[in-house]
Amino acid sequence: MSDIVIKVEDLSKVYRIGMRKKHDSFREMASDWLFSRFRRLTGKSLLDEDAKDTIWALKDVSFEMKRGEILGIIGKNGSGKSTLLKILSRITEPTKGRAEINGRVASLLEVGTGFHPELTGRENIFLNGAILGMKRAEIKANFDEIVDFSGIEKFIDTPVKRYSSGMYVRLAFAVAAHLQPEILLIDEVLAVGDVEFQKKCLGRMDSVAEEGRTILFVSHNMSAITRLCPKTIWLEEGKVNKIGDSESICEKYLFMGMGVKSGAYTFDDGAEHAVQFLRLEMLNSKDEPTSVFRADEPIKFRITYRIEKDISGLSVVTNITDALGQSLWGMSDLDLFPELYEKRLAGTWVYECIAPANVLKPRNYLLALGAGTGSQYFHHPSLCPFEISTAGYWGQAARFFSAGGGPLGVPMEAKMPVPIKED
Amino acid sequence: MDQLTPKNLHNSVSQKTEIKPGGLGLLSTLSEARRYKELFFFLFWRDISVRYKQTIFGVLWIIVTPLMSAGLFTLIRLMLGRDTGTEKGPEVFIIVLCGMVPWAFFSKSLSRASSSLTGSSALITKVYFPRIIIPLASALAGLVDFAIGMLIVIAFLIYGAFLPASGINPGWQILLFAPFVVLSFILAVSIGLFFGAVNVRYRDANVILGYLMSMGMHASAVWWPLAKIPEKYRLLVACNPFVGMMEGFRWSLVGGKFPAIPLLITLAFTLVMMVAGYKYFMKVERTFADVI
Repeated sequence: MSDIVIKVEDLSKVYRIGMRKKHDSFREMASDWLFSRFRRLTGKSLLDEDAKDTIWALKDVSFEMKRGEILGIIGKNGSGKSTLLKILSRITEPTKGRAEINGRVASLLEVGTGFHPELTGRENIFLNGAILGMKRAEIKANFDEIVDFSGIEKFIDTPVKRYSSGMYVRLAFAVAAHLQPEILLIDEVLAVGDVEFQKKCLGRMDSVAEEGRTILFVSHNMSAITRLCPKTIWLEEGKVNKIGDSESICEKYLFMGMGVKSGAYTFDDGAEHAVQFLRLEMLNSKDEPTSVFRADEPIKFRITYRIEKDISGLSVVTNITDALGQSLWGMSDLDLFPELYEKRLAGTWVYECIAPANVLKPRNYLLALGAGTGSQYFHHPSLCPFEISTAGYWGQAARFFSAGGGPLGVPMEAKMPVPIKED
Repeated sequence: MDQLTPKNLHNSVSQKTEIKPGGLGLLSTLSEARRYKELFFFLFWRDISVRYKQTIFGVLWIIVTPLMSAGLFTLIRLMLGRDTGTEKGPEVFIIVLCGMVPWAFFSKSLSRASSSLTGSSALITKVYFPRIIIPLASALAGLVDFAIGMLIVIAFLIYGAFLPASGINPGWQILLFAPFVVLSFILAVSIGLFFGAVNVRYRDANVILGYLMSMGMHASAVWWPLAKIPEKYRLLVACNPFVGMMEGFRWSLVGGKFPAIPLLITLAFTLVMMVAGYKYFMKVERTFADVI
């Protein structure tokens, strides 16, 4: 018996541009119909690659998964991650190619699918469980555990429309977390919920993984990917760009195209934030913008942000993370200037902070910016990569090995070791 | 606790799924549908339990609506028959009610089956299951209203049976009421599947269906019996397949002449719609998630 549980061969999916439009009309249908007749006459079909109104959401994707394997999928928005998951979970069908799945599949493209606002938490657990493919007996057997996991026992007989959004997500995730299929397909579902709950869910997924399930996991959270999945596929424009061990793939992904980055970033995501980051410059000791620094020079971050209305309690955070997004060195400007807590006026502000030299080891890092108050996040621009090169690094061990261990490279005060004479 | 560990899952029959362009055959579709019967039940149960939440009178509305409309059409009938003056109020009311309640069941089943798919777009784009269980479950949920409505009808029928010299003679034919329910349900679902599937892509379908249904109520012997139509036009009127169905319902409840020819027309139409509705639905089902 083969141990391959998922076998994907040349899976492709073409979408007609505009196919997802909500409101089609009979007029369009009539013209579509005429065109499709015409196409048939001329022998052209939807599959024509050069057809102008089509887009390949997925193109010739092939891979295999063994039983118990956990595979991550990363890629930019529109790279085909969700389409792949939708095909494998049979929500939509491929245009070309095939896939074979051996085992009971459950897919989790969203938490709380099918939750009905009028029904109580208890009723929704059963409904949602059934929708996700659980048997009634299974839901019953796990019911107490689900309620326990969600932490909302008190409101279990209240209609979920009266829930706060946090409670809603908790309950929804609790049901999902108790799915016990052989194969689990998960889309970015951890993006919801508060940090603590996210941790709980990741923990739960760890234990699910240990039970030997086969999991396909789509995420933007690189640290979750590297933690859960030994192997990762990087999709780009519907094709498999790279496939390999998660750490190296994720690192390549995050530092994609960085090479000669100028060290100056502008953040314009089109959204209106109450507090909005405008620019970031990373400056070396000569005040030149760059993204590659010597280990023995301080790094100056010059951050420009705009505040729409006067605000109190605002905290602007710089968080240096490792290459996979794991936080290493987070610092709020309120740590340094508590008096800013009271009030900050509307307008454009510039904030300079300097990471001292000889602190971080020569590696790739990311700078994550964040602005928020205790209860609200305003703007969380994309991560800005930078590199500390081995140039100027004091640690000589790097000559013998790669600079291993943690990210801190601060020299300790130490005495030269001396041999002890044994009696 | 009844934990399903991967180990004993492996011992269970291994389930193999092949994903490729093109749909499933009829047989595998049926076996698929059977695997999802619990979900079917849950959707059915959801539709029923959500129905009258946050209403004050709840079930009362199920009773009041047909009584009101039957009352209204009784009035119209009496006004139309003013010159002949042969019709008596209570009798007409009961006969109209015997048409209104089954028609309400039919038209609601149809419109629910047809609109349920677009109403479930969140499910369709996020989870796989045989899509056909959505319209089936929603249509079936109308049975509860129907059962309650029929209690009223039966109460009035018993009252009507004691009216002197009325046209209300319930008898053994009432045993055939159930087959008519099945027939009308199949017809409703078949048409609903077709319109529902079209509606996923073109929202015009439900608009058209709405017009058809409201016209259908007046054109389909719901509040008037076929016998009221001049003899030479009866066959023409009975070409409307809903006429035979309504005549059948009325015959099984209040007796009279068995509407053989209109019923044959209904049966033939149902058969055609059943095949067409199901086939079309299955053909386009696979693309629902992409176009909804």
